[in-house]
Amino acid sequence: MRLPISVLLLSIWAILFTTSYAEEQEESKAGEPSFISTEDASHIISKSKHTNNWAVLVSTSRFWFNYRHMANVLSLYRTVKRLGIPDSQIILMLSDDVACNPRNAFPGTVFNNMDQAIDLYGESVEVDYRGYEVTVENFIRLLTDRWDPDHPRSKRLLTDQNSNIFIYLTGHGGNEFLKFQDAEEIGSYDIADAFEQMYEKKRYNEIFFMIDTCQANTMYERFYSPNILAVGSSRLDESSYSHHSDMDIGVAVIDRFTYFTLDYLEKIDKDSQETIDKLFDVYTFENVHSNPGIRTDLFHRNVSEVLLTDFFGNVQNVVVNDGDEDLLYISNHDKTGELLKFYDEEPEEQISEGIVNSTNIKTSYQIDFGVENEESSDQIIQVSPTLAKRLGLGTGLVVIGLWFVST
Amino acid sequence: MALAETISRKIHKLGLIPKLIKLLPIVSLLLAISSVSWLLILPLEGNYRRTYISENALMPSQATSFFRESEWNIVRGYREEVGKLEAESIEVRNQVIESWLHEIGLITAYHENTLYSIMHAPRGDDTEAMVLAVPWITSDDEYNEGAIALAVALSRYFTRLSIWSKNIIVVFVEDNKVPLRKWVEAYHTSLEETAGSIEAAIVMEYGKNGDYFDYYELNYEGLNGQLPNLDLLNTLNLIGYHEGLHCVIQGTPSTELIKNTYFTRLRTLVRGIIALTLTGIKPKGQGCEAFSGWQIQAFTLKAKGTTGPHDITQFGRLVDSTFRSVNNLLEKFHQSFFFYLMLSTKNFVSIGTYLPSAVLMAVSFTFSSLGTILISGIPLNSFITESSKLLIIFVSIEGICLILALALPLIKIDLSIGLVVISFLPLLLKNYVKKLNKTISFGLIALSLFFISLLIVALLIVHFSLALLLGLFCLPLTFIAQPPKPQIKTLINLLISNPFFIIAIFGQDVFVGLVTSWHDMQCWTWFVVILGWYSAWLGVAIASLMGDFTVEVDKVKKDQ
Repeated sequence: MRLPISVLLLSIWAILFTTSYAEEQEESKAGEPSFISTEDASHIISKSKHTNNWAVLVSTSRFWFNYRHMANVLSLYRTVKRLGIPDSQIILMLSDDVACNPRNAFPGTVFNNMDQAIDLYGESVEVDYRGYEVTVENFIRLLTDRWDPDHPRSKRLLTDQNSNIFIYLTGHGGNEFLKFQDAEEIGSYDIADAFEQMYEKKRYNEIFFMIDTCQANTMYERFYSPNILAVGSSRLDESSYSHHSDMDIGVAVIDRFTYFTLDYLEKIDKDSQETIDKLFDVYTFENVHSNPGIRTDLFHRNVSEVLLTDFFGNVQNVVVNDGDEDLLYISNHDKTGELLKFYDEEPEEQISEGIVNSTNIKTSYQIDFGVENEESSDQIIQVSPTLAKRLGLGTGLVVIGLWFVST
Repeated sequence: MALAETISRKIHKLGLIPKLIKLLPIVSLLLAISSVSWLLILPLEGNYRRTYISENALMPSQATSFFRESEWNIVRGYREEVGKLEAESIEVRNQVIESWLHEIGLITAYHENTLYSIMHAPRGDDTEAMVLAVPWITSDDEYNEGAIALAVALSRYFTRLSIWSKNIIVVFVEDNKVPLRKWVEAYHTSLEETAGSIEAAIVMEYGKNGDYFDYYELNYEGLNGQLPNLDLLNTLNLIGYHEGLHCVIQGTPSTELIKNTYFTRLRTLVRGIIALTLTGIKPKGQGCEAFSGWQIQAFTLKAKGTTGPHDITQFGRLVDSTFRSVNNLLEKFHQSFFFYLMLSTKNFVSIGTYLPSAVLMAVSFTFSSLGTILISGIPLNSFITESSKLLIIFVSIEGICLILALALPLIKIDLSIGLVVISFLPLLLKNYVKKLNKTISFGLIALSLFFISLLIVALLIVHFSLALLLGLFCLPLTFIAQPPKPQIKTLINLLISNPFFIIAIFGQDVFVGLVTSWHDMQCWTWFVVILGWYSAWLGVAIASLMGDFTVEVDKVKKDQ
C-alpha cells in the first residue's frame, strides 16, 4: 500500500519535471532571435569597457565642387545611425549646404552614388554645426568641451570615461594639416593635444579616429594619448582620390576610402560580431588608389578582438549587472521563486508572426541571462534558476515521500 | 678690394673698354637676333607646357549635356524660320526672334538694333551672368543662320534646366565688331535691363553649314593684348575633346587638324602674335574682343565644314557644357594664366617663358642708343650742354605726332602712302635748311632709340605682341648711325621701319581700322604707333637726313 503511493508520487514528480523542462525549451526558442547569448554578451562586456557610443562626423570644405565631402560625412552619419547611435550622441558638422545649392540638379538631396539609391539628406538629418559654424575653434572646443555656460547641450560632446568615440574627418588636407572652410586649417598637433586633454579629463574610453583627405596619415602621427585607434586614407605626399562622378549632378559624389569603408559597413548590422581588422582588410591600394594607414600602437587591444560595433554601434542589447544581488532574477520571480509570466501563449505567436522581418523590436520575453558568471562571484554553487526550481520541487517531493514511507 | 683693383688694372692695360664700345653695335644686333631666336626655341619640346585645368570648380565634361537628338528638330525648325529672314531688315528679324523669346518666357530688351534676352537663374543669387552672343553675319560675311537658330533653341533648353546659379544673356547683334562692342559698353553704363556682372561670353558662328560640321575654330584674342583666362579655353577644348571634336586655332588648315610638329607650333605662335597685335584694328572683328576691358573672359566659336561627322546639336553642347562649367564657378576666373601664347590647342607658353624675348629686344635698343653716343667720339659733356635743345626738338616731334594722333581719326581715309611720302619731307628740305650740328644729330638718334627701348619695356607685360613687333619693325633704325651709312642705305632702313609703310603692307583697311580703333573699340594701339613708334622714327629720320656726321668719321681716322 505504501510502496505504490511512493511510486505514484515519484512518477508525478517525474512528469512535472519533464513538462517543465519542455516548457523551458519552448520559451528559450521563442526568445532566441532578439538576444545574443550569454557567452557573447559577457565576451563583449569583458573586452570593451565602454557603456556608451558617440560619433563626431566632420566635413571641413566648402563649395559645390566639394559635394563629395558632404556626401562622405552624411554617408557615415547614416551608417552610425543605422547601427544604433542615437542622434543625441552624434555630432554632425556639415561645412556647406550642397543640398540647397542652386547648381544641384536634384534640390534638397545629397547622394553618395551615381545610382542615386539613397538620399542621404532625405530623412531626418540633425546637423549640429553647419556652414561657417564648422571652424577649427568649434571643433577643438567640442572635443575638449570648453564652452560658454549657455552653449546648448545638444551641440556638446557629453562623453565620459566609459564613452567610445568614433571621429571622422573629411576635407582637403596636406602634410599635417586639414583645411577648414577655405580659411583656416587644423594641425596634427592641435588634434593630438585636444585628445590628450580629453584623456586627462576622462572624456573617453577609446577613440577610433578616421580621416579621409590628402596626406591623411600625417594627421594622426602626432597622437600620444592612450586608447586611440587611427586610420587615414593616404600617406605623406600622396593624394586621396574620389571614387566616381554622377554625370547628372556633375560632380564627384564620394571618395574612394570612404566608399570602401561604407561598402564594408553596409554588410554589418547592430548585432554584428565582425571585428575591426576585417574592415582594415578592405583598405588596399587596389581599392583606395593610395596607401591607407592604420595606427594601433596607442591602442591597448588587439584589433582582431575589437568589434566594429564598439565604435559604429551602440551598446543597447546588452544588460550588465554589476550589483551584489541578481536584480534581474528578482524582477522576474516572485518571493517563492516562481517565474512571473509577462505574456500569454497566444499573443506571442501573433507577435512572432508580425515581426518576421525585424529582429530589432524589443519584446518583453524572459531574458536569458542574469547569472553571475564572473569569477569574483561569492556564490559557491552555480545553478540556473530553472535547475534550482526543479531541484527544489524534487527535493520537496522526496521529503514528502520519505515522510509517507516513514509513517 | 685687391681683386677688384687687379681686374680694373687688367681691363685698363688691355684697353678693353674702347674695344667693348666698338663692339656695342654688334652686341646690340646679337641681342636682337637672340630675341627672335628665343621665340624660335619656344616651340621646341621641353620649352612649352601642356594645358591643364587649374580651377577646381570648373569640372569640365563632368556633367551630361542633354542638348541632344531630342533638340535637333527644334533647332531645325528654328533654322528654317531664320532662313526666311535673310532678306528681311534687322528690325523685322529682331521682331520675329523677340516673339520666339517671349514664347519661351524670357525678358527681352534692345540697345539700338541689338536684341538681347535675359534668363534670370531661378535659384541663383542674380548677381552674375554668362553671355551668348550671336551676330547676324559671321566674320566670313556669311548669314549666321545656324548660330541664330541654335541660340534660340539653347535659350529654350536653358530655361528647362534647374541648375543655373548665374543668369544667361543671349545677344542677337547685327555685326560682331562695333555694334557688339557698343552693346557691351552700354550694358556696363546705360542699359536698364541687366543681369549682373558678366563672367564669361561666347560668340557663336554657325553659318549655312546645315546639320553637320567638321570641326570648330576658336578665336580668343582680346583688345590691347588682353586674352581670356586660359582655364576657359582649356575648359572648352576639354569638352570638345570629350565630344570627339577637333579644334583649330590661328587659321590652321583643316588638313592639319591633329598635326603637332615644331613647325605647326611655330606657325601658331607667330600667327598668334600677329593676330593679337591686329585685334581691334582689322576691319572685321572676331566678336570676342568686344568684351575686352570689362573683366569678361570671352572667345568666339566657329563651325567649319559641312560634311560632318558632327551634328549641330554637338556644337550646342559645346556651349551648354562650357556654360555649365562657368556656372560652377564661385569666384571670377583667377587661376591659370591671363598672359600666354598658344602653340596648339593643347600646348602653350606662359608669360615667364616668353617675356625674355621682348626684354632682349629692349636691351638691344638700349645698347644701340649707348653705342651711338659713345662711338660718335663727341665728349659726353657736350651732350649734356645740348640736352635742353635735344629735348625741345623731341618734344616738338611729339607735339606734331599728337596733332596727327588726334586729327587722323577724324579723316578716316587711307592716308598711309601719303604719310610715308610726307615722312620723307626732310629729305627735300635738307638743302634749304641749316644742318643740325653733330651733337644734336647723334643725340637725337640716341634719344629716339632709347625712347623705343623704354616703350618696349613699358609694353612688354601688358601687350607683349605689340612690344615685340614694334621692336622688330624698328630694328632697322639701329643700323643707321653706327657707323653712319651711305645715304641710300639709310633711306632704305628708314623706309622699312616707317610705321605707315608697314601699315600699308599689312593691308588697305588696316590704316582706317587703326586710326578709328580708339574711338570704336578703345584699342590704344594707334597711340602707341603714332606717339611712340612714329615719333621715334621721326627723331631718327630728321637726324639722319638733316644731321651732320662727317666730323665723326674724320676723328676716328685721326685717332687711328
